[in-house]
Amino acid sequence: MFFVRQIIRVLALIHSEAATSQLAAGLVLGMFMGFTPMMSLFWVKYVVLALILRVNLGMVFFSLGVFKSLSFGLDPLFDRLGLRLLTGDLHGFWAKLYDLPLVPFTRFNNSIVMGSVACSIVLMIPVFLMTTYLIKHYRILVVSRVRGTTFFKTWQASNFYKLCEKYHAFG
Amino acid sequence: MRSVKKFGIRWSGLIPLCILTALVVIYFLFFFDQHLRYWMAKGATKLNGAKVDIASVTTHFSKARITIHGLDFGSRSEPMTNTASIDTVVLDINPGAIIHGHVVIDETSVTGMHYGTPRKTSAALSAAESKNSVPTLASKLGQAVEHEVKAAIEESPLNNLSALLNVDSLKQAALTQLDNLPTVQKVKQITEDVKNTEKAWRSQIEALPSVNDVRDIEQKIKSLASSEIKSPADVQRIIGEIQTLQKQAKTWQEAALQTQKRLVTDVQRFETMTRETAATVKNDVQGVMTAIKAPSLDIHDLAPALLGPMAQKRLHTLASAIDMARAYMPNNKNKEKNPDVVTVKRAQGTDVIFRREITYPKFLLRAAKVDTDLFHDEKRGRLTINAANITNTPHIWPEPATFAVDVKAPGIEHASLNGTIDHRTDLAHETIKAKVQGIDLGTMDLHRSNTLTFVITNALLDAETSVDIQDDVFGVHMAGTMRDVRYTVESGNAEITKILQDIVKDLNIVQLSVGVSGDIASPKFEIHSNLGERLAHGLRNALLHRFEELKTHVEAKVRERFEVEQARAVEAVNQLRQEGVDIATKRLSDLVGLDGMAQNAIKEVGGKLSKNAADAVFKQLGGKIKLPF
Repeated sequence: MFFVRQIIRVLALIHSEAATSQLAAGLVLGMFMGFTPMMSLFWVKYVVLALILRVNLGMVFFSLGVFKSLSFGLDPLFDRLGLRLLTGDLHGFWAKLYDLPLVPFTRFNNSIVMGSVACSIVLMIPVFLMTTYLIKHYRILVVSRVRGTTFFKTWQASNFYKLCEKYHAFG
Repeated sequence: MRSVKKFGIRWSGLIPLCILTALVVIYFLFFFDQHLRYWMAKGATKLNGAKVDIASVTTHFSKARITIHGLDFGSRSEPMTNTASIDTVVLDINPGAIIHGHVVIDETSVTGMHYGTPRKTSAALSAAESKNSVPTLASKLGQAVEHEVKAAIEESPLNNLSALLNVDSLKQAALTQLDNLPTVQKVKQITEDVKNTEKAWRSQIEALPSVNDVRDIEQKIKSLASSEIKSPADVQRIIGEIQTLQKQAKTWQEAALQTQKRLVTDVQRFETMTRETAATVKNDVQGVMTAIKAPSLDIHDLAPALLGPMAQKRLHTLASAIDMARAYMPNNKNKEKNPDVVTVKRAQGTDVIFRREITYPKFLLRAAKVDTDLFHDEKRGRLTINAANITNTPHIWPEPATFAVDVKAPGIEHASLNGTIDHRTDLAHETIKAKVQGIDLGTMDLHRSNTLTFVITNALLDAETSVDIQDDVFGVHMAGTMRDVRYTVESGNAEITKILQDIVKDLNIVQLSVGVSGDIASPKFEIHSNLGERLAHGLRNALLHRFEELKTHVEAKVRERFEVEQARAVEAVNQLRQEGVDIATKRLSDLVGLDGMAQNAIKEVGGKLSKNAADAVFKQLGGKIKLPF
């Protein structure tokens, strides 16, 4: 039921007039937060970004849930990738980074943290672009057609719809 | 229709961000100290092995300082007592290291230290809390030394001193041996031989002429001597008869002489044998002493049995401290094969440590300077500690951990301790030099059993200890003196009490030397003390005295027993002499007298003839008869 509610909520977001870039950025930020283990300074950074950047928080939470669920299965992959990166040619760079103030608190030297962040960085732009593209096309192909129907116009004229509109204005 | 905002800065988001920041600040202002206190107490409890309580912790972020109030270290051995209580500890943290994720304590100061204070709650840990502490060096050393000390205690003559000194049972055992003494057996055999010989003698004595036989011949000679001579032919006949009787007497005399000689020889032989047997009585005494298993006088130095437990306890404390140092300051050898990679829990990844670039270890107590008053039972002392370079990753810190302790406290006139813990390489190396003066040892058991309590009730210890441990190779030497020593001896046996009291009466200074060397798997434990030597010597003398007493007693009993048997033998021989030799001699004397009587009788018969008659007879006989006069 929870997942169904989340999917309905996301569909509502997509159907709303929220900017595509906000939704895509929220998804990407949620992906970072979902993949990266919580006990790290990265998370503080993500929370600050989520608050001060104009990203869709609903999408952030949805994305966080989805990618956190995926991360349990992907941890071994992150571990291998992170270990390869940490012990590879960039060893000197990491060593210098490790010696910088506060940086060690990010736990970047942990293989899963490094692997998940690296993976998120690699996926960041493709996911952003793909999400933007998909939402745009969905809105054009599906939403605009639905909006043209008599049923939807009747629904849009109802008081309940207006109430929902007010609710979304807070989002 | 609502306007769609593009991706950018959400200024309204600053409000929740400020709220979040404020919450964090509130946490650090009001709750962080509580949590820090909890974690510090937990960590210290793990180190201490008994509960450590902390009254409060105050963090001063501006000064990078942590102040700990009311630190109570519970005692592992006495859970209702605190080993030490500290009023205030101030830790000056290096802020530069903190932002690098390291805890570096630049300076530590301690004020108001108490020890031996009572606790309201027990400091004992539950089984689950204490199962992590697995000492290795201490347990190995403990087992090896404990084995030697235990053996020494078990072999201690003090365990069965009453049995050793109680020779009454041995005396009883000696009595049962008396009938089997070789000498007594020999004398008995002589007595038996004498009795057997007596039978043979009786037949010989009986073969001799009786008194009546001698009287008969005597009467016959007398009657022949007094018979009337009517003619020379009578003279011839009477003399012939007397000569016949004389011949008979001579034959008997010869037989009596032979019998007497044989009897005298036999008596002399038995007397000699009996006399010679007396000379072998000493062998009997030795035999009895061996048979009753008289106590061994081979008493070695008793120091391991008397002072071993005390030395063992001190060694165990030392080894436990080194165990702790090795557990919490591990050297390279104890780390994982690849020092750069530390595997953490499953699903939490692997931490890669970039140690070349790290300025500080994860935890470092760079310097701890303690100069504080020390309190115990309302008495005041002084404690000074200078410790440096205490870290949980010694292999990445260039200097070894060092400490110097100086104490003047109630119960300790002065103590100084200097040490180095070098765990920077694969070979763990610890060196400690300690010098103590006037440590009040209080009451110390030297020996405690059901039958004997031998205790030092008062002593002050002056000692110098040097410790050098490289990996598992041990070298510990302690030379000390206990002065003003007083002893308490309690025993149900007043004699034992007196013996021990006499032994230690003037021994107010006890020298002590303890050494442990060699590999930890098989350490050579040595302990020497003049107390042990004095006791060994004193007990040896006491036992020797008892042994001599026992020997004298056994000798007297053996002689007594021998003399009884000898008296029987002598009596038998005397009886033999009386019933044999004396009778034979008497007979011989009688028979010699008979011969003289016969000769006198012949003279008397001859005297009866007148010279004329004699001439006439000669003529008539024509010289056919030769007269004996």
